Amino acid sequence: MLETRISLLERVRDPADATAWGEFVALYRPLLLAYVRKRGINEHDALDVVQEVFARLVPALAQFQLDHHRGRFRTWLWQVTHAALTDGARRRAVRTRAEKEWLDQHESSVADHPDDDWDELYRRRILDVALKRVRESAQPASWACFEGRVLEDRPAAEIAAELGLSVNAVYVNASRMLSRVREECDQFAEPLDEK
Amino acid sequence: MNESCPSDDELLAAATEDDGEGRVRLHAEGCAACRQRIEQLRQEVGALRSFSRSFSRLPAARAEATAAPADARATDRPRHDRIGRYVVVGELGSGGQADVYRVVDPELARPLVLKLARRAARDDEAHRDAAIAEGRLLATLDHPGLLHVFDAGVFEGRPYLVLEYVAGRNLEQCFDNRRPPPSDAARLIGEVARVLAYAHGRGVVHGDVTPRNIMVDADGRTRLIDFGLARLESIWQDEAGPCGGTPEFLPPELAAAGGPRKHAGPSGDVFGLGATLYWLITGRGPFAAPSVIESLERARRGEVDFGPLRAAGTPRRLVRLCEQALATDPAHRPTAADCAGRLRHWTARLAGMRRGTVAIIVLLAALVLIEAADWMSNKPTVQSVPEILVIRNDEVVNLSNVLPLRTGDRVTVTFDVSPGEPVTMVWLDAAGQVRSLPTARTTGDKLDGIRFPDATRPARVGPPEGTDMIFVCRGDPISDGDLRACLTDESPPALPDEVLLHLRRSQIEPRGPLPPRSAAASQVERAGEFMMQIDSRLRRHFVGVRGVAFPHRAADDDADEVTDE
Repeated sequence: MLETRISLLERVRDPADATAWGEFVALYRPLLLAYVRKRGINEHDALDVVQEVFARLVPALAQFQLDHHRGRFRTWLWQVTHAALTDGARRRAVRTRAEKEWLDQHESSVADHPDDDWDELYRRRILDVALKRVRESAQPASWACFEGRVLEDRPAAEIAAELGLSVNAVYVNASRMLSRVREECDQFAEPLDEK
Repeated sequence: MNESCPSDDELLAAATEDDGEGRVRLHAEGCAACRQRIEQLRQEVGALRSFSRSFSRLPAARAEATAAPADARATDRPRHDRIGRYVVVGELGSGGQADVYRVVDPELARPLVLKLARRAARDDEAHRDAAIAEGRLLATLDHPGLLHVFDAGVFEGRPYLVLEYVAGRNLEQCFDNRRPPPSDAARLIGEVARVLAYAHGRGVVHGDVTPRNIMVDADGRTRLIDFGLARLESIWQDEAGPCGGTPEFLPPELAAAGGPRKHAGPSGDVFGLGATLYWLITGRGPFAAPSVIESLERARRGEVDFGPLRAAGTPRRLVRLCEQALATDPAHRPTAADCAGRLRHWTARLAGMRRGTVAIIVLLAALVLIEAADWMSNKPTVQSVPEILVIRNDEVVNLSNVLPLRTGDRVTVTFDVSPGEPVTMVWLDAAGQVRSLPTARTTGDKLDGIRFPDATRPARVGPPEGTDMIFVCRGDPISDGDLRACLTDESPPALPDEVLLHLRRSQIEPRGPLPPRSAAASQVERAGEFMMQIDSRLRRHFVGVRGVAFPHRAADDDADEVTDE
């Protein structure tokens, strides 16, 4: 596949790139917060955990071997998050017994595979960001073709009539948008066609 | 795919079941590449549709996918992505004159707190320089009882400070609905007094000593936070702003002046210390009143009611110290160093009376560990492997958080065993040399604590570098010869920098702050096998064996030079 631009995951490893970290945090922070909250961690501790994850990511990203193995970054980020969660819980375990129980439950599980919550939240976050980015940079008519045909599953003829285009043009536009969305997802090492 | 194959947009039509003429489908039947492409497009469209449907079904879902419950949205979108070189990862809230952010320094992998002045420094250079100079002064303070200031600067005209981030609870949270016994209160206040004495000796005043600004961190240490911030904020702010802070704890001279905290002196801190002691014992501030105005009025008159303090059955010496620290006239208050000395003397005597010397750190930890205490009594085996604490740059940290161990670090190793049970602690160094460690034992009701070294000073780690292992063996001691026979001739295999191995019940568990790189898996495995081998030989002599293996590297070049005392 033709690499059109350097991915964010590459850029964030470059100390000279002043904006990459900001983008990285803006992208992943909501995901991490949602995931951590979903694990029943209270608001204050959730923010602690998320900060801890980012602090760990700084040195860890330098070591992370970015390859195009599908979904690898997703799993890896989960591992770092999971490690921060269990460490945080271990520290808090001295405070509350409830969290001790949480720890017993989650620490023993083999920390290799993310749970469904993580996969689901992660994909949603990436798709949300990818779609927003494409939409912002697209011609409204091109986007309308994609949104109508692909996202909303409306007949191409109906969309064509609304926009005063040929059916063929609807598909050309939708296909172009789709390939831009695909590129955006690739940026985050998250293949679009994965279930 | 070749020239005659349909284009992506035609394939998309087929993939979405809208191939009017069936021409594409017909072609695809004979073309594997196009079939595959159609399948891919179908999956992509499927993924996008289910994503999009999940939103339309539930209008609120979009907000959820981007993560925020409504009440927390403010904390989700920090107002800045970056402040200077610091990456903002969240907001901690706003206090006084500053916005407080959680940040990460991309060059220094650790969580930090950044306080950014709410308003731009007044637009003259002298003012801005004063703010930075004050920040730099704070950065020179270095004491385990306060938060370290790492950096000070100006961002978009607004001065900021970068501080260590410490998780823990402040006294207000710790003692929300219960009062500590007077001896604990005395110890806590004694700790804070020592920090204040240190800072006052360097010409720095805290300016706002209250229960909210004293924290007990996760290790049970008392930390005085927001040092000098009251003063700094008055520089950040305006020359003649009103004084901030809680009037319940306000020194009378400041309440009377109504002036900025900038004028707070060391004796004001001592007043805060006394006020905090008063609060610890009675549960209320010395100038507590139904309204802020009344509190201020009482503060102005220096009107403290010592009745509740005496009524609480507080030891006389403690009441006297509290009264003196809360004297209306600053000149009549003792110094912080005075308070520290008197409290230390007094708490030492108390400890002596009980015929047991208990480390202060243990008592402080008890504040945090209240919950854990009864849990421990049900389950005496809380500690599964020896705990290694490292003292590096005056910080006490768990080894797993500062891997690898460095030559020059100081360490203590602790392990809990059943009362009276004999234990041998063994250190296998990187060269494969083994020695049994001298340990001290503290006896307790449920558990005995075993600690290396047996002296009070932590032991300094020397070369060689490589992989070190520590084993704790329960059972009667064996001879040095038998011990050496448990080893192989080899030195321990290398471990990656970020990995620590735990050995318990003859099982190896890799631990560490990060998931190990997959490339390191074989290294981890080899070291684990080596450890298991020694474990099986040790178990011929001992009842139970626990252990830790960890990487040990040369001293960090960047670290301060260590001189041996």
